[in-house]
Amino acid sequence: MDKEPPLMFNDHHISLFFENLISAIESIRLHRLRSVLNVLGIVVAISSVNIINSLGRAAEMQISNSLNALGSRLLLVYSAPQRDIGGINRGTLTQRDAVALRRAIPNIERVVPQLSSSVRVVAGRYRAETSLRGTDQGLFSITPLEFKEGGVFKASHVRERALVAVVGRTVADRLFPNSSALGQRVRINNVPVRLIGVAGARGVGFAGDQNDFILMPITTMRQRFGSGLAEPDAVGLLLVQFSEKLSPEAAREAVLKFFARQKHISPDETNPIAVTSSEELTRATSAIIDTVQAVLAAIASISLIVGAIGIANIMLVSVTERTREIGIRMALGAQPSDIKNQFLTESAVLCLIGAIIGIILSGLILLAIRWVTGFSVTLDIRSAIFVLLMSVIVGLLAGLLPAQRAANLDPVVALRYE
Amino acid sequence: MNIANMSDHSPMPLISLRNVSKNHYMGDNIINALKSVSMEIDPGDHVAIIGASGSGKSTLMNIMGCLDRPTSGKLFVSGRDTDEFDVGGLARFRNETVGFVFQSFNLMPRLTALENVALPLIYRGVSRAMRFTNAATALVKVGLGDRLDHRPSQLSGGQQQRVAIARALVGNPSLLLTDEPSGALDSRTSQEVLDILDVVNHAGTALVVVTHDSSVACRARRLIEIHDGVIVRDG
Repeated sequence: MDKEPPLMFNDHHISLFFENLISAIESIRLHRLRSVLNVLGIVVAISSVNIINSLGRAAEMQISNSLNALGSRLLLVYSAPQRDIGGINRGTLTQRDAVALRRAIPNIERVVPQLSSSVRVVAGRYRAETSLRGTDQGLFSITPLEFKEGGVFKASHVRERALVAVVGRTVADRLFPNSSALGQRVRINNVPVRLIGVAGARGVGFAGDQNDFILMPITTMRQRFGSGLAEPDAVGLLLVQFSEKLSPEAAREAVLKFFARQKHISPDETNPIAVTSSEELTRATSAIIDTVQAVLAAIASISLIVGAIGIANIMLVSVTERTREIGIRMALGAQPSDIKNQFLTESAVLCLIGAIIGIILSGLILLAIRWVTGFSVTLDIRSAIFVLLMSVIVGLLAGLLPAQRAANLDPVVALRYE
Repeated sequence: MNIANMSDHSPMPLISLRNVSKNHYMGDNIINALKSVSMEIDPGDHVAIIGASGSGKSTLMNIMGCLDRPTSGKLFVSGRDTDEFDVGGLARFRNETVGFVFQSFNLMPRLTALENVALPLIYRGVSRAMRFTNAATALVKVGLGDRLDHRPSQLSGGQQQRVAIARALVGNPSLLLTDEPSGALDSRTSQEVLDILDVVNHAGTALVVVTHDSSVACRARRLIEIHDGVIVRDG
């Protein structure tokens, strides 16, 4: 009777906590099927949260990787889709534009032309459909490639229209599954070409395989395959690298202004030249990912609320079923807070079990995603820890009402309960 | 704390009821289970409370054990006014001073005999090892030293009631409140259980036995008869 009131978190509390834990596990084990069914909502919610976070993290990595692969301080200049018909397309970019642009704007370090088309590459009995990109040696400075074998083509190759090509890793593997591709001769749309390098892009991008390409000097490509465009020295795309002195916006403005002059576009006409920065490209991608993530997060929150209601419901059932037990515990001297803590512990443990099942489930689903899509996604450990904590909080919140109801029972009434 | 007006009593009564009334509300009906009851239980007392069913004897026991509060009147325990106790204070009083034995044993079916007996000590903050040592000692006292790991379903009725007695005694209470302790048992095992209760009382614990069985009641030194919520005999 005259004992000191218990201090915060003394041995007594720790001992009680473990007793509650044992009692909770015991009670959950006794109603295994019921517990599993009721915890399903939590399982779904927790695994969705985990999948969202893990996918999001992987996506972020991909974005920064593809930004690295593309190169920074980079503008892509291309002909905007034309609406006017008749007359020559003033939006066509040419080799002359490239040279003029380089000279006109001092802070532009490099202008690399590029032509592309789909081709069939044949090597013996192996063949590959891929995209052929004609460019010059400057490309290798803008978008760094990792060379597995061999190296880049040089200015002399471009000048002499050499029949050489640098092949992407994926294409190399497809054409020469059992041997090295380096130095081999292949036929690109029946044109014989020698492979002088096998390369891969840094990182793996989103939009398909970034190693599925073949590069050759733009001069060779134009001579052998034509530009496919109206003017003989036309290019499909200009890659423009600007110096650090320019912001992406300023660089973009300067380039647009240059082309308005170069192509004699009056201010009231729409500029037939479009300019996109590499940052803009990746920003667009990450915006899509953000939207998808937000939608999934909303679904996860709804299932979490549904799950929490399920837990609250089963805890109410559990309190009712164990009314007599509560009465006995009270008669033996349990404090209302002891009873409350017992049920809060049970609710939290129930949710924690749901979270553990959810984490395992999300791990399996992520493995499946990885296996099917090849998208390099792994279970995010920080997310797993976060959902474990979240599940405990949800469990405590969901258990609050039932636990309070248990603690408020009248011992005499509870003891008489059948 | 109202000790001043109790000082003329020697020794100080363990439990003291002053004009205690208790009403139960059944829908619109009010049942006066106790009508202005005054009585005392002294340390080491052996009291039998008899009366017909519905006479209010269980209500009286619940109030003495602080399971229930009076509707009106005063209840003193060891000289302290229970009006000053909050719900937690009542729980602590039950835990440290009272042991309950019920007709239907009220054991936890999923716990072993040892765990059942150790249960009250959890709420007193006794360490796990100490709980089980004390619980084992209590079980040996009631002759169940060889049944520590049995669950209630593996024990006979008499054995279950002895586990319940061990649970009531494990915290060394000054008052043992029993409600029809032998009511669910056959005559032979009921004698065994009552013998154990007598031994406990001889060791100094006040014993209150609520019963309608006169052969149980005649073991007590003091007989309180209650009828329609009023004590009609005390002595």
